[in-house]
Amino acid sequence: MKGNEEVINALNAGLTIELTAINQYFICSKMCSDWGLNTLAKHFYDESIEEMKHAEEVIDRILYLEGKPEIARYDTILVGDTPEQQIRDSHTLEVKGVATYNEGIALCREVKDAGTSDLMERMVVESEESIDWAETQFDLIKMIGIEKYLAQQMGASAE
Amino acid sequence: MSFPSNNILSACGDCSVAKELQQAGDDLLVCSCFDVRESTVREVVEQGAESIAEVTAGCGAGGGCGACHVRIQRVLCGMPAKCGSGRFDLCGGCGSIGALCGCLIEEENQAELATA
Repeated sequence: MKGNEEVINALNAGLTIELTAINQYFICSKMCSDWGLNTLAKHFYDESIEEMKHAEEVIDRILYLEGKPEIARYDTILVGDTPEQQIRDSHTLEVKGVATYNEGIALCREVKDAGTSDLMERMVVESEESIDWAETQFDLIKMIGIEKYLAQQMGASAE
Repeated sequence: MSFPSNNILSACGDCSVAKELQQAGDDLLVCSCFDVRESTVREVVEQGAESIAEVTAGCGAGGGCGACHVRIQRVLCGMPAKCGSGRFDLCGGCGSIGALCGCLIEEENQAELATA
């Protein structure tokens, strides 16, 4: 079905964030694993896979609307050199994702594309869950200090 | 669904936009201090400039008030100097969609700093 061109642009803007997030979470996972922070590494790994599933859904939708998925376009991949910075960077990216999809949802309502709006709404909710997770980590670090927090993130031996 | 007629996985939408802009003769005035246009900045970048300082050394752009640094950075990223005007066009400077782009604010701040 031929979709609205601006809706396809909005989906591609979302796709760029998903593709950026896959890579950003993946490198964070590998770095945390290297530092021995296995629990945190597992979290970032799961987020990376989650973003890949999101990218798949967005690509499927763009193709359904007969648009071209911009699979080679990325935003800046932020690679924090400390676990705390990595959590901060993922928070920044997720906030950008929510803002981008919310703008897309507003457009979908204008042009009456409930299918795309539904997909984007689900993406917003999942991104908000990631934002909530990051903010919880900020609270934990503030309450117990970075050393104790990191001790908690070591977890079991590397997978 | 039916397949789009041309190459389905375009390498980079923004690069094609940049080419279209150039073909259309829309050569943006990037640096008003030294009267340097986008095509000149792009030539310097194509000759190997990799930073704003190197672009300034090559053609003067960016050596004055500094308000054009965001535009030069976009060219360095392979994007059009001008932030995408569409609501969902991605800005090469901040990576946000046009509706959420903060670069104009950034440029105004830089201009204010330069005049202060």
